[in-house]
Amino acid sequence: MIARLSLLIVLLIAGCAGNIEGGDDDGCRVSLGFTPSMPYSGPAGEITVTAGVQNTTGVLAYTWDVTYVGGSVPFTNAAANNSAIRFTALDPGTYTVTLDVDAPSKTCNQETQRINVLDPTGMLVDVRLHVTAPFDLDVPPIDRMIRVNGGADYDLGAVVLEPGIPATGMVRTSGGTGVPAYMRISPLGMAGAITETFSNASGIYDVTLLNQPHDVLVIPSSPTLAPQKFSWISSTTSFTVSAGTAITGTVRHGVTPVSGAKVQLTIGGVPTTLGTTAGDGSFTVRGIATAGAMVKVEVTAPAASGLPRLESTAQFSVTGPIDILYSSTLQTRNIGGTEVRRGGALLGNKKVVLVGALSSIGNVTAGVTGNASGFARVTTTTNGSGVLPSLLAPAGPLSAVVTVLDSDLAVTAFNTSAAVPALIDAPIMKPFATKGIGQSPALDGIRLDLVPVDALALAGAPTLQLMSDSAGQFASSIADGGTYDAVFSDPQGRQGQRIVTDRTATSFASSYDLPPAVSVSGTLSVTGNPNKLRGAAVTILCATCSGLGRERPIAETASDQAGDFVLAVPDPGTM
Amino acid sequence: MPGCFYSDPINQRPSVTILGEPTEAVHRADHLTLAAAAEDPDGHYVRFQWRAYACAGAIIAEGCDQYPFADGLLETFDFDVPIRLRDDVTPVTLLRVVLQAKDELGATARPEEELLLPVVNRAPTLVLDRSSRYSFIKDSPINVYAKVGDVDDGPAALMPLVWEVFGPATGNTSNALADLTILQDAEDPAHLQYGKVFTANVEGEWTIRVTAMDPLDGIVTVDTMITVSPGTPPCLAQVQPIVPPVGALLPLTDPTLFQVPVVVDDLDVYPPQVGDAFLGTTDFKWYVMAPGQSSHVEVAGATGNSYAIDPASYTPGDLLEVRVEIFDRDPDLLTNCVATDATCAVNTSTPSCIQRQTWRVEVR
Repeated sequence: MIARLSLLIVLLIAGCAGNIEGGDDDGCRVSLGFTPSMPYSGPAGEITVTAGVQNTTGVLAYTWDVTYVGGSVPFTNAAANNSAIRFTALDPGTYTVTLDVDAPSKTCNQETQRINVLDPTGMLVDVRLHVTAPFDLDVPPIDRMIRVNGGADYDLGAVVLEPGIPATGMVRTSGGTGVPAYMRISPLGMAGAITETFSNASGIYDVTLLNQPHDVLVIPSSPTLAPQKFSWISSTTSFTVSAGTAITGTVRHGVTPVSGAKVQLTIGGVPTTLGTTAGDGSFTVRGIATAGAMVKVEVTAPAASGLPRLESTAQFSVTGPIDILYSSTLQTRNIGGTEVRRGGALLGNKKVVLVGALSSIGNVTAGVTGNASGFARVTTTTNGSGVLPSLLAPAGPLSAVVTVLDSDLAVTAFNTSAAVPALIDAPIMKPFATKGIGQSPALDGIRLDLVPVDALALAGAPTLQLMSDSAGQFASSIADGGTYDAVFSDPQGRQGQRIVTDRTATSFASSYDLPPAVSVSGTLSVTGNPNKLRGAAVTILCATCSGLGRERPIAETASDQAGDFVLAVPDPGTM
Repeated sequence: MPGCFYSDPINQRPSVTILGEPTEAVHRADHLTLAAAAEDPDGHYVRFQWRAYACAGAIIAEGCDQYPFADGLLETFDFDVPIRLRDDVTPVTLLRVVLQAKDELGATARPEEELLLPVVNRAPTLVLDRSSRYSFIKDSPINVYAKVGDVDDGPAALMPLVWEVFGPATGNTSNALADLTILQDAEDPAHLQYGKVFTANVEGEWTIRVTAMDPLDGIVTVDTMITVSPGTPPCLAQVQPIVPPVGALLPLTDPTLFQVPVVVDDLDVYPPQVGDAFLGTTDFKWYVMAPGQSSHVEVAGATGNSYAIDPASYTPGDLLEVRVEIFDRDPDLLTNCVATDATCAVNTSTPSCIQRQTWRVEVR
């Protein structure tokens, strides 16, 4: 008994010794806290900052410093021993409080607290902060909602990415055969933080994911296997894909079967395989039937048919045949013989794309009946004499997009509703000039992205990027008749992004005010890694947009050597 | 009767010698320590009197100050060699140290001991350093710093520094340096710092030579060699969406923005870096090989870091290739790659640094 007690005492002493010699645990540690937790600026914007000092004894000396936009901010003591201060934040923005503590026989860390002070009249805008680490770090991305407050810079402080866990496994058939596939994986609750990968020829995938449930979209390379959506958790080691359900139907134009049409469904966001209609208009695609899901039906008729692309979305039932009908009133016209000219001169061997959005071009019936809309996109080339060859196109209010040269486009109406126009007169590129202005005298080196919309977008025209001169002036030529969304941005972060929609060469104003910018800053790191995260792509993205608008950055940067980043986002303004 | 004759003993003079004469040249502002060795035949205690005079003569004690700049009564004599005579203008070129000795009865050593020490000028000190934010590549600014001091005359008395540039045969040495204003170190008043911005127009070995000279023609010359490199090609650091492995296709189900979020380069990065006017932005070129095409066609006007593709612009089942190539201000032609190469690295010794990426896409 005595021997056991002695052993216990020895163990306790050893434990104590371990704590005493615990290195960093013994160091003086300084921390700061402040109230209110969400301070607002103004004469009443009083903030109290309190120091906490651990692992030291005796009389401590506190040296405080408060700065704002590089200047000192006056403060008063808020504690008899000087361990707390109080200051008034008259203006919104980020205030930096620094404290040095002198302790007897101890060295204390210098502690800094950055305090975001909001403008009480500031408007609020939610945006997404998307961070992608350098690929060699193999860390999952993040895509978080953050709130930008009008009139005030905002420091996010530490933005910490999780290192994730290795997720390896196999995409296979029920028979155990590995399946090469594309995989799109998104964590629940953070849908924008997508990780993509491919399983190899043996079906093996190896990726790093956050240790939380994910949605996984698997699109097998094989056209005989249906894409499928799965759930993933850390214990998941395989995804079993199948041929899915055979979904059948027919495509007709009036009573005439449409053969050679490509048919694809998207059921609850998951695409089916691609089917092609047979001579009798029948098709089969393979997919996963999900009761009650929204089903999007897309049909691309063969170019020779002249029929437009057809789309319809509804809660279609895919357990029975799907009847896809191009309206019998939808007519096609032969555009052959139309001349393509510019300034009277025939344009030989030029690419011409006839495009146009068309409504009520048919319907889809599968349990329910949905109206179908669509668009025409007929691509052809003039012959050597500048004449369109024989080709069918839908009847309707179309536009012709003529590529005169690679960078020389023309857009003109080509209305085939009643008859085929005899002439496409391609106007010359039209010059335009505009200017981006801001609070500084001249916004040199700002950027203007011209994003094609309407006919140009349907024709697949690219986004044009222009850089301003030293006065913020832009001057160029764009397709006459073309419409663009103009996205002004300042790579130097002096002003926020401004988007002006539906601009033509003649509708640009002489100048546009770029909104003031507020900065969103932070420091990137990875949990468990003492190094800061440098070289990561940091973007601010639209939270409420859809399609490409959801992917186009409002602001973008890369973290620096210290893991720091600063983004200039449009100031939401104040009330 | 024998008489008694008494006489006081005759006190004899002590003799004295100066010890510790420097074996090396004495410079102005040096600290010297001399010692006295005395011998008194009567065994008396000997007192010393040291005096040191600053002179402007050559090797004889002419032109010395009337009054000593240092004196002492101890056996050892410590003093700092003055810079100038009492007129505060004439540089010291000679020291005259006089040592007198008396015994306790007042007998003075004769002759008094004198030491003449020629004093030479000390050359300035010069240290060079250089730094670059841009990895010492051609056409980029390289800061060269010179820190000069002069122990005896002080840094302010120095003549203007002479900067010379030596470079490769095709190097432009005459316009390679520009003035750079730098702050002085308030805690080190004994030195002054100067700077130049050096810009090399060609890569290779360059030498910056700086010469400092004091008012007495003391000269020091220091070289610093700078190896200027041609600069590295830009590297695609991140691309989106994922690039399919060989043999696989990226299914394109929705409008997709093909992007290059980050390019790493020594000068032309993406996203653009704010606050450094010398840094530029990467140039981008986008290409598409559409169905039916046999080569990648550059997309006119697509010069940004992203290129959008709407699958609706194609027919489901179409296969196409989307390609991006990046260039810095010194664009390397991707001549070591053929058009069918999905990726390309200009510098084959760093194959992970690629300037071309290709996505093979299947429209769904």
